[in-house]
Amino acid sequence: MTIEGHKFKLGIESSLENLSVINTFVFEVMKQAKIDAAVVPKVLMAVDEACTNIVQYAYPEGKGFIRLACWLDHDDFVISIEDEGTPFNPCSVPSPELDTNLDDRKVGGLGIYFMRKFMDEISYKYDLKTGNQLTMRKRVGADDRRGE
Amino acid sequence: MEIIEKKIGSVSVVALGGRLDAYISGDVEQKLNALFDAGEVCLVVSLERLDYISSSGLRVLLASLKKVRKREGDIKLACMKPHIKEVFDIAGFSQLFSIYDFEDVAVQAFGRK
Repeated sequence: MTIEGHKFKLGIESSLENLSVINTFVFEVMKQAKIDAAVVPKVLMAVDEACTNIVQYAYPEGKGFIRLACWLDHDDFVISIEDEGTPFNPCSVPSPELDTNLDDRKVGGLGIYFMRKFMDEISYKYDLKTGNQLTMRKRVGADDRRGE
Repeated sequence: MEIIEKKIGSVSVVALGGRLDAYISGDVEQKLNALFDAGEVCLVVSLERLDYISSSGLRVLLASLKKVRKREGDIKLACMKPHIKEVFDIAGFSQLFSIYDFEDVAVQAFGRK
């Protein structure tokens, strides 16, 4: 079976409880796409961090909706995540200072840092109709796909 | 998520298993705070059965480390899977925590300080 060209979609209520459901969904798609096992946890973490931000910051007052889609685009595994909450561009957040001692070490900013570190490309756009739209790409070229 | 506690001598061992994401990190923080309130500041956190940690989980461990170090205690980490260790390395946490391959070695390390 090939998933080339097929978009897998999940629409789900924005809640911390649903993070594990989102994780299972993306994991199953990557399994079907035969993505290299070493790449899978990195993509899952980037998605988890992005969705955690939506739950905590896009819909701070409670319930909203998150729409995910993932697909293979040539050598890339692509995930698009949309929400209609507060506009927020993760690409605008500076990287945390990592090389400090314990007392000075800040606890924020790590989630977006992991998204940048683990994905090859992250882009953001906002419009009134769709809301926040985050697209992340991970190169999973022929060498990174298991099997034939 | 599973959280299992035990006591070996004066050291509290907390084993975390499953997914430590933003949904669960509050529970783990409460559990650790309860131990600190009871005067337990020498902790080994065993991660042998931990499959995933997000930045929320890392934040809880960092905040806890700051608390116990102020009280002359420590949190030593043991038995990390390679992909969990990679997350700690990337976050710069491997230089903040003492990390051991085995739980018993981490417990014994408290006696040697």
